[in-house]
Amino acid sequence: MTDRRAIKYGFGTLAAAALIFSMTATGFRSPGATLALITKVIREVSMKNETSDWDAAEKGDILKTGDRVKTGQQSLAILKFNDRSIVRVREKSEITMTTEADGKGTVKSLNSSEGAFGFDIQKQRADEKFRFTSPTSVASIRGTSGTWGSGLGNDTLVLPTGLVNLLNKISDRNIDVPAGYIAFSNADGSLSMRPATEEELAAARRLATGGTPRELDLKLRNGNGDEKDLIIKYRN
Amino acid sequence: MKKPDGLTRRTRSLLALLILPALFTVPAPAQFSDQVLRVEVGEYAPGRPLLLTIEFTNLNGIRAVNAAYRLFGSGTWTMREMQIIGNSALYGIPADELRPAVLEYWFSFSRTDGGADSTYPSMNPETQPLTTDLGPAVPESRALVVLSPDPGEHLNRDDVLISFSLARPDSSVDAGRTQIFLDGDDLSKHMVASDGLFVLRPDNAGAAPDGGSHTIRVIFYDTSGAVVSEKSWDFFVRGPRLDAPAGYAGYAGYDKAHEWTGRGNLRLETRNETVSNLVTPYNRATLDARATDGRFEFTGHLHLTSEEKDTRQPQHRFFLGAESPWVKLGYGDTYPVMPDMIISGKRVRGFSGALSAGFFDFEVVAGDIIRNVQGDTVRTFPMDSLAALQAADSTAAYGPYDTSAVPDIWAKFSHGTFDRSLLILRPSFKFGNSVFGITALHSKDDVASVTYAGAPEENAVAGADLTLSFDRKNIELKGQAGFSLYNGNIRGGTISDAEIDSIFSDSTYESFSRDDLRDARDIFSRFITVNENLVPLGKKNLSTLSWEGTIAVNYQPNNFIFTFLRHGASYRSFGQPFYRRDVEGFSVNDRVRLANNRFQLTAGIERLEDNTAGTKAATTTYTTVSGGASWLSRTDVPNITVGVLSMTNANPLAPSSLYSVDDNTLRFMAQLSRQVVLGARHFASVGFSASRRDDNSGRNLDSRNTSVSLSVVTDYDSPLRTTASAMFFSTKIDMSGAPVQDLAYTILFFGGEYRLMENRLVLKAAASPTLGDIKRTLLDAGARYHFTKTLSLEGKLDLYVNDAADTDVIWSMVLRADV
Repeated sequence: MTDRRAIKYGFGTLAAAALIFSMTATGFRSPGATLALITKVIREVSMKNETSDWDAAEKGDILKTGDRVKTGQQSLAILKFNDRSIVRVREKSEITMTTEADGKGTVKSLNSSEGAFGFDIQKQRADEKFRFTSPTSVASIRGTSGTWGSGLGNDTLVLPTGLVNLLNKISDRNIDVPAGYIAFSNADGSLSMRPATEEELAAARRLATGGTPRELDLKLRNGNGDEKDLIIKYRN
Repeated sequence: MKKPDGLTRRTRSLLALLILPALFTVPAPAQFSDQVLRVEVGEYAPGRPLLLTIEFTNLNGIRAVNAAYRLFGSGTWTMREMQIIGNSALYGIPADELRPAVLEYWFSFSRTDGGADSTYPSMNPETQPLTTDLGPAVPESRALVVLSPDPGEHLNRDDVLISFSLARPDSSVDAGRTQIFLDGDDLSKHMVASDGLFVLRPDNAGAAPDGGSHTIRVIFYDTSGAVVSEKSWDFFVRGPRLDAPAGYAGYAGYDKAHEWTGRGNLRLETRNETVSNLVTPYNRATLDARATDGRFEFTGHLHLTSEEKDTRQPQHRFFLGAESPWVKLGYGDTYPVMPDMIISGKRVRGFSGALSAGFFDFEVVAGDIIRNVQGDTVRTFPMDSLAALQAADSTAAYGPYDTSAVPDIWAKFSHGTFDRSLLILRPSFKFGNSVFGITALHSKDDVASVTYAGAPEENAVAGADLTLSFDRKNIELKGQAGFSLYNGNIRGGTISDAEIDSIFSDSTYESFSRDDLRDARDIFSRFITVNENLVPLGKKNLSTLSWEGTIAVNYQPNNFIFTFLRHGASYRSFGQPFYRRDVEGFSVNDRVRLANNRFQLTAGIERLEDNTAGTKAATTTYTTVSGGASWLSRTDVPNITVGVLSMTNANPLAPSSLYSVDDNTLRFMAQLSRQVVLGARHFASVGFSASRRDDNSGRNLDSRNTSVSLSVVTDYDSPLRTTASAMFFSTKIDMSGAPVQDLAYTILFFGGEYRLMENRLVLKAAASPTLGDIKRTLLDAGARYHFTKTLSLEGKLDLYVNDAADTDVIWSMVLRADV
């Protein structure tokens, strides 16, 4: 083997190794890669993975790529991701967790065809992305909070803070949705947005973060005149 | 989850020294001990006391054991009396006195015969102390992301789920070894780990937390089992504690609190020592018991020993205590810890109580700290020889022995010891993390308790202390002040006006007047016997006033402490016999933590002066300057700590003066340690210390000390642990007008512990030859067998093969039962 060929094969081997390494390192994760866990379950929440059928979910259950979560009527599930990002799955919703590599890094996707979700996503690293997807749309999130709803081919995004890029897969159009706006992406390929009302923004904040912590202090007095404080902490 | 099988406790054993008394023909700073068997130091963990244990072959001739310690860089030793249990003495150094990187310590032993204290190490312990590594602290993990509960979060009991993740892949962390503790309980085996995400459901682990504050601690290890980093955080569970006080009944979970649970253990020991052909048997029994229903608690401790004799201080120990959420009551031997200027761990036999009422606390301790021991008859003699004997020994006690004889027979008595009572009252007020307290102490000898004794004494101390904490204790201000009254002889009672006039008929009293004494008597006789032996008798220099203050600021990367103090020359508290008197000055220490706490630099300066009362020939200045660096490695490089210290003591007197002080001690130390896995897990450490003292005064007491130590503790996969160590000590003392003393010896130690029969049987054996100027070999063998989980029998045999004397033999059997 000549020196030139040796160098050529050497570079080739090196390039192949680098490719394998980069695929491994940047998101060619195993199908069962751990993504999040369920931190709260209210009423009827179930989950399934690729090997099992739907089963009741419990607080502390770990969610991996391919796992699905769905909620029943008047139910809620809170999912917490490795980076402290939070997704609140509202009633009668279903979501599928996936991860994939897009050549630049890892993309965590939550796929839903119906349901409503509050999200509080931490700022993602340069090689990471977070997406809500539906058959109609893709919302790429870098780090903000808001709500995402989808159903019957119509997706809605309400954004109290930050910026989200919303893509309509039918028309391949996309827009940047700024803070304070509500955006609509429809199965007919239309894509639009307008300033959200205060009520819409307040509802989005409530769903995204669980509400603002508040405290109610009630003075209780018994028959002897003894007074005690009953403090109720809640979110609104 | 696989748990690391690394060392859970680092123990350093130092074997006994046997040094010939003939080596010490000049007044060395301290003498020797041939009774120390081993010294153990607990593992340092920030926020927890550090336990010092010293085990003796026997305690013959030892009345009390004291531990002296200081952080490397400090010039002042803190001296504390240790608690003696069996043949061991223990003392837990309070957590707030500890911080990285090196603790220096030594021990002194008070003799029952009143002779000079012996020490361990035997020669120059202050310039060549023992040392133990206090860090640097394990760095806080930056890779850990807390998922649940958030730090400081308040949540309901049912919502408690503990979870965290490793946000970034950290190749140095072996996730499978990760440990998690909830309120100190290791729940690692109940934790689920998946791709860097960790989940623990406490209720599944049978550890559902009750209402109140809780702490989670996570420790990460590398693939070799060495600690890489850790992180702790607190959360709060709403609702009452399961041990909630009365009035909270009816809340969920409270019913469990009503169940009474109890624990107890009994330890019976028989021991036989043959030392220097003198056979001494010991029999001891210790019973501890505790019962609680979550609100109320009863405790009991009883220790009986054949060493109890009315010719020495009490050796039996007992305590009965009852405790509720707001009051504690106890009777027996107790060791109160209050402002250390007044009392800190001194044994008191009597009543103790504490009341906690919200922001107000009140503590009281009343009992005896010394019991009376009658003096012995030394010799008898005819009364007409009394004058000659008194002239020969004026310090002894003399009294009639047989008045029926002609002439009367008198006797010379050794001094006995008075009963000494003590009363302490301490109200204190808490405001968050801040505390203000007032402490009053009164202690007095019972003159009637002993027939022949020296001068009975009395002491009263009043003090105040204040601790202010800000910004989650990152800024702390502490201060304490005390004023003492001490009477060195109360036999005659409080002085009368006529006696005052008589005293002041002599015009040599210049520092105070008869009116001063009358005023002092009228004021202070309500608290203490007032006579000419009272200290102070005047206001000049406030010789019994002491105060000290500390400002501590802890903001990354600095940990800064500034202390200023003034200890009066005549300040005295019977509750704190080791308080260093007659110094004033300051100390400054700073510790800088870099590279995520892995690299720490320390520097300090302390400057103290004596002669606070202005009564000495000259003022001596004590200056200590120190610097050090520590590296906690995560690679193959060992953990390293190096330090250098210079202590200079000087006064302006000419070297020829008897009171001249002019010396400098320069000390260098280095410690290296590393855990390695080579077939088995090894913890290896190497230590080196060298010091030289140059004395430029007329005494010219120069010294050179060198010590080198090497030890390897190995844990094998099989239930075997071995220890191999070598320690070399060399001391040279060169003093004017005396021959140079050289002492060099090496102690080797080889030991092993093997567990078999599913840990029911534990076998131990060790051999430890001492070579050089001291020659002795220790052979040690023992076995412990568990008949059940709660019943065990242990036998032990120690042989001390002496080079120039018969072999000493010590054997013991211990039966232990737990309930």
